[in-house]
Amino acid sequence: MRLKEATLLLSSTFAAACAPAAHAVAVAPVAPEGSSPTLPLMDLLLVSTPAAALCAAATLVMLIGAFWPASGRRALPWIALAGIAATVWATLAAPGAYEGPVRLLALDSFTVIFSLLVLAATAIAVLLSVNYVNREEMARGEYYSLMMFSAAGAILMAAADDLILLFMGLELLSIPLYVLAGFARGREQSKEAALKYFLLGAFASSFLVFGAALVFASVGGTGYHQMALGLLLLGRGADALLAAGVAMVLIALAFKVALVPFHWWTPDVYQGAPTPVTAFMSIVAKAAGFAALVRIVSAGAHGDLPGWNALLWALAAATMVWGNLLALAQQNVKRLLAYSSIGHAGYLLLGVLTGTVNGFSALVFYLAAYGVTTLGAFGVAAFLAGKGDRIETLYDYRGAARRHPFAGTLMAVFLFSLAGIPPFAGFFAKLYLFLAALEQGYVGLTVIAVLTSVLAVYYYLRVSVVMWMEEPREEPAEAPRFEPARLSAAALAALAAGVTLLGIFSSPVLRWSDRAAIAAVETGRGVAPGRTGIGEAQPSLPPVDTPEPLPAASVPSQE
Amino acid sequence: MGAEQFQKHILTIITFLPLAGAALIALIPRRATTAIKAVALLVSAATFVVSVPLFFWFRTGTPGMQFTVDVPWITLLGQQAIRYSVGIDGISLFMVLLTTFLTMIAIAGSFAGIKDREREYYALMLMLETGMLGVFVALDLVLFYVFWEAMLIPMYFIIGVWGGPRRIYAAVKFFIYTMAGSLLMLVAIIAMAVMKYQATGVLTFSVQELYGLEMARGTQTLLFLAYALAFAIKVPMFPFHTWLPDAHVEAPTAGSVILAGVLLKMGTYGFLRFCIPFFPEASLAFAPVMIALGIIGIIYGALVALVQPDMKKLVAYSSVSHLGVSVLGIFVFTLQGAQGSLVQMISHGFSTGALFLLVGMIYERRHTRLIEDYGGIWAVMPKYGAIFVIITMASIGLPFLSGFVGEWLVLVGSWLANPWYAVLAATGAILSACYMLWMLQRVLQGPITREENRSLKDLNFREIAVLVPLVAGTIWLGVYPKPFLDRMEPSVDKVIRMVQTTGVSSPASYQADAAAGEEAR
Repeated sequence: MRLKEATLLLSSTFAAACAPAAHAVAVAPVAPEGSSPTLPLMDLLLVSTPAAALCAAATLVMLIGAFWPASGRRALPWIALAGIAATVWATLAAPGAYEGPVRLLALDSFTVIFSLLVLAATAIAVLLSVNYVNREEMARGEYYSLMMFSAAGAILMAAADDLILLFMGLELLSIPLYVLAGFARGREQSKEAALKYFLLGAFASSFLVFGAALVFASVGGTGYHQMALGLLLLGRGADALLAAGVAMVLIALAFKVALVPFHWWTPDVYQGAPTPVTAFMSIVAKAAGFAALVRIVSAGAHGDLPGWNALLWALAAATMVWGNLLALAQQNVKRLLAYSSIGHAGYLLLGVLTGTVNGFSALVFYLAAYGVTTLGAFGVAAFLAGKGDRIETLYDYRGAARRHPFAGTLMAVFLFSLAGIPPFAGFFAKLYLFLAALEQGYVGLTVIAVLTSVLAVYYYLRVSVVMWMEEPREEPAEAPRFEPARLSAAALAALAAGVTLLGIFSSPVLRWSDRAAIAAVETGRGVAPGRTGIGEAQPSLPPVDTPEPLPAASVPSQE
Repeated sequence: MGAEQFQKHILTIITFLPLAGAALIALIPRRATTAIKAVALLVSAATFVVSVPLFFWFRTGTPGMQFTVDVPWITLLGQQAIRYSVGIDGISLFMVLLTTFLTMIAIAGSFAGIKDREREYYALMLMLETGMLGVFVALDLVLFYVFWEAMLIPMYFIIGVWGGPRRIYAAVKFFIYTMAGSLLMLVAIIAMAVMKYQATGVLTFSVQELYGLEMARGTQTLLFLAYALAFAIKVPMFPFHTWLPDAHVEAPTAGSVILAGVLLKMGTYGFLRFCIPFFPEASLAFAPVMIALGIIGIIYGALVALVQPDMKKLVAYSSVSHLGVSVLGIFVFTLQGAQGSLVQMISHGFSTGALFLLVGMIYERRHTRLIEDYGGIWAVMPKYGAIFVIITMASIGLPFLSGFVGEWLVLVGSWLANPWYAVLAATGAILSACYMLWMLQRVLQGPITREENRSLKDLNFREIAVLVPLVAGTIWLGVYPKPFLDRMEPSVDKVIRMVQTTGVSSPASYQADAAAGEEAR
């Protein structure tokens, strides 16, 4: 039975992974001028290196999980980690910029750096899962494999330069997540989460497909550059069809990153899903959605659609206010973190809204900082919860730090970072984001962001209040127990160190995020009329330690 | 490390020595409480000892920054925008010394009171010291802000974990209030950097380079208000003072000492260092408001202190009153006023720190802070009584004790600006005599009213050792304030002149002087 399931799942996800190739075959004849009529298959493989490599590794993990004797399953997370490491190698080895006929995907620094971000998050999520899946008796091969497939989808979304590819990435990201959300089959909540996520997610996907159809109907293509061109030719907002199509794409992505008012699934899914899965999706799904938004905005695919900025402004404001307000009322820690993640989506949207290199760079940095922090916070929650995830309300957390100072300290570090208190990474992320936003004159929105951070501080403090300042619960049997194995404890400690150091030593990370942002903008511009290719982008990543002035076109030179 | 290297990096060493000590304490086993206390005291004492040479090496007669270190920290937009830039002038010199001195005293004063989770407590105290020192030495706005906010975390835990019955409420209120005020300041900081960037193409957060930034009057007003709110909450000025009584009453003794002795001064320091030099015109425009709030604080704080049945609350409200004097001294924009304000800050650190310790010591014996539970205890605790009297007199402002110098200078300075200010402020001084002497009378003098108090033990050696340096400080500052006044005068004068000559070349001359000061080193 299990074998059959696995094979089914495998074949379907594999089909999803191969879909870009199939699509390329279908659209090859209409590939841009000058390219040979033959299939750009090698080009396609090249350009989809990170996602393809990760899919291959995920397939391997799934096969091993299905056919290996039970005793060998202990090695699965290590095989998964090795696969992720191999993907990192392949990603770095691939040329940093691709110049060729395939314009469905972009292989530039933006894709590469996003892939590294997603891969790192996946690796950490795997490490955090090891003890958890054993404790919850759900250690099966599909688990790690699905996580990796989902990450491949996220990478595809970041690389997509075409709505159809975006859709494929979104599905490859989401379908494994639906399964993972329901992975704790014994718990009603987990099943509920899976169903809810699936129904609303499918709804969102359909928005994307319908949006793509409308775009195709109005400009005759689904590439971002075709949208930009179409908008240019049609004039400012002349085409209601196109405007509706772009709006629907935005709605689909807003669902994925949980912007208000498309956030309703988030608390239930975050609470019900197994905690390491929640940790994984809180960063990977969000990163993928924002990466796609950055691609669309920097390609000019939203054009000068009337009201686009006002729309994003309103979405950002609503998301910050509503997410943080509702978090105030939460008693369940996972649910509280879910609402807080909605609030953070609002801050991140600020970066998209600026539409500048600085804004995108701040967004990438914010995602990195947020990823490290949220993985850590959910990681601590996963191990405080005890078997069956029974202990996860603030009431249960009382006095937990007295019993487990290590867990208490870690949680405090992660939450202070989420709250944006220095010297933790979250503060620096906000600093850079606000700098970019104020540079573009978004004073009102920045002030809203700042005021909602005060709300946020209140609920983050509540967690440290119950953990540190209240007396422990009477019955020790029910009290939170913090017993991660050494591996997960080490991963959590490393995350806490990362949260502390990422901000203080943010220059190297900023250099990478600048590079990613420049690449996104240049790729976006490069396909617009009057520009040539994307060859202007950096040929490959420079070593991290060489300080290199950024191109003068994007950033004013010193002095 | 050679002496020259030591002198060059002395501020960095002072700032981060406590943090290293905190890391060391984290490595000591939880049960070795004696070792933990010893390390905490040694590290804080070492920090104080290292900071003492600042006083002697400090070059008198120059307003510029000294002991400066300026290295790139974070590269932003391809520029070395955020820098690790530290230095002190005649204003921050005393804040640094006060911080290292009081932290040492506070740690020594915690040995009897803290009996739970000592390791965390002393580690947090040392982290707090690093945060406070960083605030006073930072010359880069981001660096300053990092310390300014990071410092809230240890203080929040110190109040919330080791405080009194309503500690959680007090800790959260303290955190939220301060945080809410400072976040708008963060927006203002970024906005200033962006304005400078858009005008010159240089992205910088350096305090010195942002002095004299040209901006429209309306912008200046808004930015001034954002900064002033953060500092007014910290001071705290009426009507933003409501967090203070809660925090003070609930905090453990050492927490109160640090809170009153150092944290509140960050507000007044912020006015002198940032608010006034950045926005001289807006400062001048808002001076009447600030003066009015300062005077309201003086009188209101004193009146509320008068009716407090709880000694700790009384001292807390007396802080509101004393800091009101400090704010008044700053915003009358006369040299005497500003110098008096600084002296008042130091003096308040000594006297209020000692008062909180005295209240804490008697609380440890009787577990009550209500004035009515005592009476006539001078008879059983003669040493306690003697120190209590000296400190109270210093707090009231008796000549030859520290409080007198500060209050007198502020009164002179405000008389020069407007005699009515001085008249109203003097009312506060009279009221402070009322509440302090009345408390003294009810607690110390007369016959012993409660039987439990007959068996009270007098101060032991440790307690005397903790209090005597503070008493010595108040006497030194009261009898011979010249070394203090000489060192602060040029820097204070510079700030005052920037306002008196608003807009006219003052920022440029400030920068020139700063450069001259660095060369002189």
